Amino acid sequence: MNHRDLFSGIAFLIIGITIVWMGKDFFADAAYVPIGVGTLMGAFSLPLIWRGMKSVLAAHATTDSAAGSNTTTHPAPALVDHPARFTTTLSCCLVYYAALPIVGFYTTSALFITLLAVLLGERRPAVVTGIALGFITLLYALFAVVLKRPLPVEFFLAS
Amino acid sequence: MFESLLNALPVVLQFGSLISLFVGTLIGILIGALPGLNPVMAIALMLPLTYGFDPIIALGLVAGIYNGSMYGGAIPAILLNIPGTPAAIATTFDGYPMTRKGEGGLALKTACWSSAIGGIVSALALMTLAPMLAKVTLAFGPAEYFWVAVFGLVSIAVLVGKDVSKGMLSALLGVIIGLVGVDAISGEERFTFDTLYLVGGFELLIVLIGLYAVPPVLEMAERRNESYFNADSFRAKPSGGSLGLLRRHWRTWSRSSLIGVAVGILPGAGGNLAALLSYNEAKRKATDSETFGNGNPVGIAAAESGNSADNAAAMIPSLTLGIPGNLIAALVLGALMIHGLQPGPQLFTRSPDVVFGFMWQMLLTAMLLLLLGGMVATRLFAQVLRMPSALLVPTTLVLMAVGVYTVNGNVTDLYVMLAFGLAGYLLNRLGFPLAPVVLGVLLGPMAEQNFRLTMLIAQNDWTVLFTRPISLGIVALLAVVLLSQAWKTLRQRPRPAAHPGRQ
Amino acid sequence: MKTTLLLTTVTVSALAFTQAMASDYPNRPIEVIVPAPAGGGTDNVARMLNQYLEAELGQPVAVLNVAGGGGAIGVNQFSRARPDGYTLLSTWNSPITTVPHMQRVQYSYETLTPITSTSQSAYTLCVAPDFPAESGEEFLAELQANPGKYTYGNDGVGGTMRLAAERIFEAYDITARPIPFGGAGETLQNFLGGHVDIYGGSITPVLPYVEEGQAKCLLVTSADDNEALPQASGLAALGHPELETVLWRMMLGPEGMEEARAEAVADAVARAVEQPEFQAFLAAQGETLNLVRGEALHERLKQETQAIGGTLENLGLKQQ
Repeated sequence: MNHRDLFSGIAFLIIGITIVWMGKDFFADAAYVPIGVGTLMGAFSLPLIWRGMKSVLAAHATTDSAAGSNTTTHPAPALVDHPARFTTTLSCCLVYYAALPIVGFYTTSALFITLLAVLLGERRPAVVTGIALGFITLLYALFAVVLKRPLPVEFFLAS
Repeated sequence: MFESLLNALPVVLQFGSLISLFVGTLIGILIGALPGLNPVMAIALMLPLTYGFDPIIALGLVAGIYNGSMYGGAIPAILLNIPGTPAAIATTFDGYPMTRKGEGGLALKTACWSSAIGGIVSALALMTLAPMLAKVTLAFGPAEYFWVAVFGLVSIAVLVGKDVSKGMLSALLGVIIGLVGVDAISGEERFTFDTLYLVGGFELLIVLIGLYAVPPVLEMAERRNESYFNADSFRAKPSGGSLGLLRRHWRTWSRSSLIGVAVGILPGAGGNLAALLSYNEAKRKATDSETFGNGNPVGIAAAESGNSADNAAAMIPSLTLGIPGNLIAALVLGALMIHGLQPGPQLFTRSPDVVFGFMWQMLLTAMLLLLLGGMVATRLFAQVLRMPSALLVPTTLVLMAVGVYTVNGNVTDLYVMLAFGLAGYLLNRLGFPLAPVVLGVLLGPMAEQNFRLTMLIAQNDWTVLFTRPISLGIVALLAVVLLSQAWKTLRQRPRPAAHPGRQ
Repeated sequence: MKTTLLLTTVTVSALAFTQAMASDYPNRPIEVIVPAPAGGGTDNVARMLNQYLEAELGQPVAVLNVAGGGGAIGVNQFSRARPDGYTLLSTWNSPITTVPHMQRVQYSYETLTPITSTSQSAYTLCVAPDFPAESGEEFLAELQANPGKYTYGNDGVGGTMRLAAERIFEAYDITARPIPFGGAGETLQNFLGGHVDIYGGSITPVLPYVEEGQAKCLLVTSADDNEALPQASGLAALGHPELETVLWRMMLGPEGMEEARAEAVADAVARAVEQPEFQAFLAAQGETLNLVRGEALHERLKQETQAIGGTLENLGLKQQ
């Protein structure tokens, strides 16, 4: 937690300074709020950095004197609980978004649901295909038939 | 006036009108429940189909979709943390935690009742006070809008939680997100980094879906093996009947409905502001304010009655003055014009049946919510949570993708949504509250624009901010809120310091 | 009897079939990008027109609202669309002829395929009943005599209304303070509430207040006078017809769209606007039909772009 406060504080300080630096070039009254917001952001990041530094130093002191007494400070929740599943989900999303305009909405979505479900550990083929097809049919009925909203055209229909 | 109201009633109770109310409300709930599909789009699509009919039928559909969608937006907000419409953002604060605790059924029921009550109060205000409230609308110039925005921003003090600097940083981050794009007053590009995408700024719904809906999906994906929801809740009947709800929430409902109506008569302010202000007020007034954000049904009651009370009230400036309060009001005006009715002060005297009929329809559809909302929402949508989470994750992601895509028909928006999702996930994990971000995005630009408009009009004489009577009134109210909050904080000081747990 | 009927059906369908073979366009739904939010004037007219266009083209026509950036966001997105005729643009003039002078955009009037213009309407300048002027001439004289005193609400930086006003003010050497609002509705609200002195915007919203005597409109930005506003002078009556700046609407295709397809759409529009319901609708909106297509439309866009570029340069608003 301590390191995180320190680092997020520094990150916000940098953002704040950048905003002020960019904001000062804006024309007259368009600059007021960016400069103000950037300054405030810098100001509020300082207590965070201060707190972070203090507790980092304190943690150092305690580990030096009595190793293992860390249990009294709250162990922060991990930043990412399960990195493998996290990155799988993210990369599937990216591939999905990239394929949408090329392959078409309904095809890509059906493939995406099936693939991600399997990758996340669903192993019953009937359940996966059933829900994927049912859901896509529902979306098709709603968007294409009822609402006539244009979604990316399927590759086999494009002219 | 009351005579005209009564005369219009038989028109509304005709078979065709009743059908349109029923169908409209049903469509509205569905539309609201699907992120990205908004009532504006639905009404714009439906209206041309009704040109051949009596205007009262078209307006019945509008009233139904309008009120229905306001409740519909709460359904994905409660079940999946996805704000179905931007106005449902405050509903996610307590709705989703309730679902995870296994109280989703109660949350939906509370939302349904709250929406109905808010809608009814708002419709009654429209029926009885419209001409009077219209005068208030005109009295609000840029200076007053500025103070309304500041009032909302100050309530960040209520939303920040225990860690003040983190809360403020979140809010400031929100303001910066809101500043991106072409400045409406000088025409200058700000923070666009020379990319064309950023010239128009960020679309509110995309930011909200990203920040709020993506992180829980990622968490769900990570913990496939543990149960993410306490899913038994939808089989059991929510504890306490409707009377219990009424006893528990009537104070919140009446306060939030008043706030909603007040925000509604200001064109351009919108249901999201109404919901956030109501939520803050409820939290400020509550004795157990620390349970807000962890699944307190009062939070849902406040947010939902607030945003629904905005609905009919937003029609006041459009029907009485011909000034559309929001996009839906603009569509209603368009529809009236197509039917040969000129909006404006003469509308009430020239076609009372249509105007007063529409008011009745707003009232009736708010009541219909109680009947249709419970039926559709709990029976149909709640089943979604029974899906195995390995499938719930990808289907939710597809739903968000289609929702975000239909806003502008632009694939880049999807990447932006994902980026905001990652940012939201990170902020969550680092202990930064997300609610102030939303408030900053919404109110920062509103405060800025109106401040600068005031200065333009008054030629940089800032005293106008305090000399106008309404401005002064809002400033006084602001002082009262701030002082009472400070008093409350001081009184709570002596307590033992609470553990800095996760927000 | 029956045979003739059958025969005619067969011939008609055969004819329809060959025609379809000849052009084969459109054979699937068409998407029309409207670079303005749903519910605005541009959107209302586009949706109304689409209804009749659907019948003429024989395919569904869906509207996609892409608002923001004074219309530039939608047109930018549109300019990247495939020029197959299944994505069309329904816009008003400002995003094409004004915005490119002030923002970086990915298009210009040269890179878009002109199809046809549809309708146009003038803007008006109105004041409160106690304003010391009763005609267009007196109004301009009052403004001239009090530089910087009066505020006028308008549709924002680069908005057509503001430009229309500035062109007139420039010619008369007038300094009035522009207050940028989000559109005619917001301007009207602030005008009626007394927060700004002059209403600048489209005619329809302010009309009821003129009838009630709460506003008097003294100027319209078209060369001709406007029937609905008898007190207002047109620019020709003031001796400056060349200052005319009006709002007009058009349909455009992406760069490189086939001429035959553009023609097909323009023909369909020309037939659609003949519908009496559409014409009644336009009249209620205060707009008049105005069909200019193909090369002539390109020429009109070119001239307006250049004229506006000059005005913006004089105002110091042009971006390099």
